[in-house]
Amino acid sequence: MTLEICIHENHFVLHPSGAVFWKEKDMLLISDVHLGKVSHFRRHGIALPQYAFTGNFDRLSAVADFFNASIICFLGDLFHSKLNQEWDVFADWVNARNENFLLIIGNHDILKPEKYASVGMAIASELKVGKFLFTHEPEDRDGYFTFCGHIHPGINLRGLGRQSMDLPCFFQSRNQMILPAFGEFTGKWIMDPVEGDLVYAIAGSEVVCVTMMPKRL
Amino acid sequence: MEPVFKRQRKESVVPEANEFLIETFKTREGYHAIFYPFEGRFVHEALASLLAYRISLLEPITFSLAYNDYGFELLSDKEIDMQSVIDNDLFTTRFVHQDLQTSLNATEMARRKFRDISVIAGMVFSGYPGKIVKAKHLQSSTQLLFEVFRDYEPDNLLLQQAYRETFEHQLEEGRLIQSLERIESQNIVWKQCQRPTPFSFPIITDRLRERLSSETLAERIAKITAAYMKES
Repeated sequence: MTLEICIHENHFVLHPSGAVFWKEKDMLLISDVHLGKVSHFRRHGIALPQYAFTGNFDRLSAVADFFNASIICFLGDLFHSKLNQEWDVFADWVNARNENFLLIIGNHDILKPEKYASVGMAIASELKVGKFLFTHEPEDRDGYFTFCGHIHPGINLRGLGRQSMDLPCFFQSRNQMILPAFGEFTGKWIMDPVEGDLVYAIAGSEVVCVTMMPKRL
Repeated sequence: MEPVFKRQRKESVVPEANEFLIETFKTREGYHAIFYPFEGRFVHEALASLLAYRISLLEPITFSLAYNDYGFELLSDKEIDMQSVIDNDLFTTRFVHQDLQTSLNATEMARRKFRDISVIAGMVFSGYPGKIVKAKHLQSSTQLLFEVFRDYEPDNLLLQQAYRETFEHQLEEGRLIQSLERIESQNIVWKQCQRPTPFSFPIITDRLRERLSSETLAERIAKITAAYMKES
C-alpha cells in the first residue's frame, strides 16, 4: 500500500499509482500523465487499442478518491501533444470533481492557455511553497527541496540467480524528489543512483523502499 | 578434445547413449542445475521452460533459463530439490501441450517475438538506413506496445501472432515430445558437483536468458537490491 516519508518536517504519502500526497497542505501531486498519447499515435496511423486511455482516467479517479485532497497539482506533461478527443474526456473528468487544479507547465504541454482556463485549471511555470519548489524538469535551487517529474524514473534491481527487474520508482536525492510517470503507455528511464539517494519502487500495489548496495566494479 | 573429456570425467561423467545427465552445483551466482538432452537449441528452449514451469508448481521459486545445443540450465537463488523432480516424473509427456502453453505465458518469449511482428506491422518505424527519423514523436518501444495490447486488447491479432509464432516456429512441440519419450527410457544420472564442469561452462556463461517465476513480486523484491555508485 502507501508509504509515508518525512522531508523538512513535512509528511508526504507515496502512492503506488505514482502520486504523492502532501499531508500538511492537503495537496495531491501527479506527474507525467501524458493524456492523449494513445489517440495521438492512433491519429498517425499506429493502431493502438482505442480504449487504452481509459486506464488513465480510472487510475486518476481512484487516487483522487483515495486522498480526497483539496488541490491536485500536475507536475507537467499532462497532455501529450496536440488536442484530440481525450481532452474532452479529461474536461468532463475535471468538471465532475471538487478539487482545485493546478498545472506546472511541462515540455509536452503545448495546448493554448485558454484551454486549461476553460476547465478552471490554473497554470504556472513553477510553484514555491515555503521550502518546497515544484517544477516539471529536475532543478537544484539553493534553499529549496524540489518535487519534479519529466524523467519517468525507473530502477534496476538485481539479485542472486541472475535475477533482474526494472520497476518505476520515486527517486529522492539530497534536495529533490522525482516522481514516476503516472500515465499508461509512458515507459521509464533507468536511473543510476549515487550514494545517499533513496529509491522507492512501485511493486504492483505496494511502494517499497529499495535496499541499496555499493556497485561492484 | 581429450583434455576436456578428462576434466569432465574428473568432476562428473561423459554420458553414454542410454544415460541422461543432470549436474547440480553452486557458484557465486546461485544454484545451477544443468540438463543434457543433446537435442539442439530449440528443443532445449522448450524443455527448459516446460521443466522450469513444472518445478515452479512444486514450490514458489524464480528461475533464470539458459540453453545451447547440448543442454540447458535452470539457475535459481535456492536449491532445487532434484530428487523430487525425478520422483515426481516431471519429464512426462502427459499434459505437455497445456504446460508448454502456460509456461510460454510465464516467460518473455512471446514478448521478444512481438518485437519483429510490430516492426513488420509498422507499429514502430526505425527509419531508413542513413536517413533521419522524422516521426520521432511517434516513437515507442515494442515492450510498451506489447504491454498496452496485453492489458487493453488481448485478442489483438498481432499479439496473438506473437504467441502463435513462438509456439509453432520456435518451440517444436513434436520434437519435444520425442525427446521426452527418449528421456523416459534413459537412466537418469544426477551428479552433484563441487564446481562447474567443462560441459556446463558455455551454458552458465550465456547472458541471453529467459525468466520464469512462481514467487510473488513482493517475495522477489525482498531478495534483490539496487546498486549505487560511491562518490569518490
